[in-house]
Amino acid sequence: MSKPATSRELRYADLDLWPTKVKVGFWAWLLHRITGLAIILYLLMHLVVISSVLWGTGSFDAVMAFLKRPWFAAGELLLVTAVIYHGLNGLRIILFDLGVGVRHQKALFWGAFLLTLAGFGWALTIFWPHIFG
Amino acid sequence: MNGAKGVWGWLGQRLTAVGLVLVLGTHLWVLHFAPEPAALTLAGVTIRLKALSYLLVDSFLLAFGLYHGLYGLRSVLLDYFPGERPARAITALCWVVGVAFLILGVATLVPLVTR
Repeated sequence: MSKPATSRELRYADLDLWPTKVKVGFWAWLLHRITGLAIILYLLMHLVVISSVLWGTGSFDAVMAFLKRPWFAAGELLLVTAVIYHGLNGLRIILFDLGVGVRHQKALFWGAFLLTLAGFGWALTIFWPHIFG
Repeated sequence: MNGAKGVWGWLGQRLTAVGLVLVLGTHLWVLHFAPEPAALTLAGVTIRLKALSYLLVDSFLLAFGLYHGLYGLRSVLLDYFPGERPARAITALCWVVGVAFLILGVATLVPLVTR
């Protein structure tokens, strides 16, 4: 007979990630976590890149010119989208902390999601020439 | 005592979140979304940082971003490595990374401001 599972094991074992079985709050939490990790990783890399100024004036402009390549522009588009979602969902979480809107958490998630899509569309019009131009 | 510490950490996370909406929003607007986006060259950055307002935006962005991001990373890691000893190690690691990148950020800003 196997030993009883801990609450931690149960929590992961019970997870069924089939999209229709997962509730909106889980997607909001998961997206918040993924975008948060992506943003902190970017911030640390961004600081290393910007610090190229310490190696001389020429190296900073050379690095910036290298980062104008389409792949990096596409990455920046995704980053901006991640920032928009993380910021909006973060405000949603702060509202809940203040006891506001908890009953409307699903509607607030979909609002944040739609605004993120709108933000992505707007950012796409700006980044398009840098990616495909 | 630990509970009280946790409250301060949590409150800092929330306050920096609100601050980041302002300073990161400004940073992204100036660099990408303004009708005439700023030049991403050393000359352009140097001119921008001569303005105290923009220097403050970038300085707060550095401090708020590192605190908020590393506190969030710590929370994620604590979910996967529960217990008091891993928590202490994770917290220490986040502090070391945070202070190191804060020094790197300030060391980068200083020559740009004093040029």
